[in-house]
Amino acid sequence: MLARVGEKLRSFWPVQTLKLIVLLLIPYRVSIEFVPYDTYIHLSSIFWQWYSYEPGWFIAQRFGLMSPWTAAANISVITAPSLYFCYRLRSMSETESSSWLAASTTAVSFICFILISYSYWFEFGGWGSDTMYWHALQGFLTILLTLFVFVPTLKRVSNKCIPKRQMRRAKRIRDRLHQTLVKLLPQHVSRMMILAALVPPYMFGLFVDTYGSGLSLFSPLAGMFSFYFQVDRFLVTPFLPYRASFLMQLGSTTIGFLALGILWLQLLYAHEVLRYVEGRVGKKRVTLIGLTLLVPIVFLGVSSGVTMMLGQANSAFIPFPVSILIGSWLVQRKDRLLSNGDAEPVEVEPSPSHENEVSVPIIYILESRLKKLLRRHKS
Amino acid sequence: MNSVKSIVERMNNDELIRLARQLEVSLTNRKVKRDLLVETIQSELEEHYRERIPWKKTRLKDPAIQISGLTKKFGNTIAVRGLNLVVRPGQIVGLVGPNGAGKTTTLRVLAGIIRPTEGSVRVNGFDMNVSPLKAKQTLGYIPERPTCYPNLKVREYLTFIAKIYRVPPIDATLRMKEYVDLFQLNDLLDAYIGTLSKGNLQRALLVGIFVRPPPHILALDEPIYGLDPRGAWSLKVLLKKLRDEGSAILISTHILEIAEGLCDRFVIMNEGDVVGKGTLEELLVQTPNAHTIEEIFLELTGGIPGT
Repeated sequence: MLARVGEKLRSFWPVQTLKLIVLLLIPYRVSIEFVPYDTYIHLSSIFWQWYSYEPGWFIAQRFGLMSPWTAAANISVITAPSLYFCYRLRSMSETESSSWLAASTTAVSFICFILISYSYWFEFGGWGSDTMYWHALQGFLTILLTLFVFVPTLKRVSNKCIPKRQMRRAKRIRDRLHQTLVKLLPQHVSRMMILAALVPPYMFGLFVDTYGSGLSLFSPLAGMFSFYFQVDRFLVTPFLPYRASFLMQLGSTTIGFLALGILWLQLLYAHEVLRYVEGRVGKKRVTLIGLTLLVPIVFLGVSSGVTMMLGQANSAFIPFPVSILIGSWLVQRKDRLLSNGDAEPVEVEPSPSHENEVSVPIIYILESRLKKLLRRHKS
Repeated sequence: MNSVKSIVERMNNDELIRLARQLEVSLTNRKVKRDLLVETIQSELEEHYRERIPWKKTRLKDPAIQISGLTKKFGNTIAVRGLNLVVRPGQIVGLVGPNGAGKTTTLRVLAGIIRPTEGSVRVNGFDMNVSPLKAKQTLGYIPERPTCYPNLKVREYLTFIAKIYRVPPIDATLRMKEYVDLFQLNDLLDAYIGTLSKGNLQRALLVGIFVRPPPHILALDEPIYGLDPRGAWSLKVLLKKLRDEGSAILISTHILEIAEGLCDRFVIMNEGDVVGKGTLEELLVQTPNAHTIEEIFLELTGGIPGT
């Protein structure tokens, strides 16, 4: 009897329903706001919200213009393609490709989302008081597609490509590679430092709003998280921030997918700058990639300004592309060093101590000291 | 042990530090006197090799290379016909013949790159068809047109080879230094393999083979051809030394002076067939009109042309 119940629970529909319930309940937006002498926390899911400054739990999302039934219907429409994809995937043989089906499911889901959101916009002339619901719905769509479409597709591809026996071998090779990388790490500290400097959260910026201005940091990382920090009135009261806020938006669809492209360009730019410093590519290529990276960043800044001017938002974001500035500085520095080298070769007399003395790397010294310490501790 | 000591003395500072790290020498100061470091490493190596002789000596099976009834066809063309060949430990055998005689095909079958149409190949007792991995583990092969991973640096390639052949790191470092010096590859260690000339690539591949511990079973296809006179001389001296230490070497060449000065026995091929076999003296008996290896070769491969 118990076995039968367990089997039923493991079967397709109960598992998918359970996943959906979890997705409907998790908060997609976490906001923490620091003001002098107090902190405000706000969590928002699709059907519930919680404010730290209001007593008790608010189980229901407070829909203003829309009825809860419409909200539920919207979710059903958005969820249907992904559920259908999962259902079809079960009946597909291992050799059959699911990539096209995954692509069309994603496209249909996006079209549904756009149709639903624009019909709301035209009906009510804006987002009204249901902003939180729409924010959460974006996150829901991204996570839904990731869990129901992308992950199963990737799993199928990896299972199809690597037979089990080879999988074990691949794991062994991966482990060995990992060990080698760990060993190599200290030798490439300078490369790592350059990369770390070139791939920061890509937009630091001045946040200007109708009340003043602030310093903010914004990083949609791989389309899944937005991290946003703002200190209001920073320029007016630099030592006592008027307000500091932290916002995490899970799966921000609109900006997230644009961010994926920018992130990829950012990594490419860092890689090319590194290769230029090592003398393996020309300046033209690095500059071209830098300019390409600049285009979406400027676009985001300009569109944010235009939105504010049109009165659709009360703040604008002026981007400050840190990676491009650091990259340009590195390229300039390399050029300066090269031109100095061409102008007049400087002959450096090797000091006698150079020949007779060996410099020991700092990491080696630390290792030796640590081992000595451990040996002493053991004895 | 003296040779090991001299290798350490020739090492530059970076190599010394690398070896010290492998030997787990404790260095707690930023600067250390070079002489002191060399001395410390030498005494650590003495301790390390107290239990075992450097480059653990193993013996090869006899015969080290055995090719029986080898025939290789490419469509209707017969590249090699019924070849029987044996190379014993401590021997250098020269596979001599004009262009298109089947020398390279024989070596490619021996290295397990192509399968024979008929016959079998055994390397160190392992059949290349039945246990190819074991057979290849003991074989060092240099092709006529050397190719290698172009995106690896020479140093990375040598380290990679040492790792996949499971050479202990300390042995690998010392052997690498020894053979890099011998083949004068010091300046090319940080060059990408894709940028090397044919001769330099051949040297890098040779060092890759000699990083592994002796005795070796070598199959070298025209090994001297791309090397400069110094490299060629170093290789010849080394091959003779290896032979004396018990390695088995099969060399394919059409440069008869090299074959004469290097090989103990010859297998002369012409159009896929073996036309002569044996030591120089045995071949002279077989061809009474010939007086030199060149005349033997010409006699067996179509006759001495009239002047």
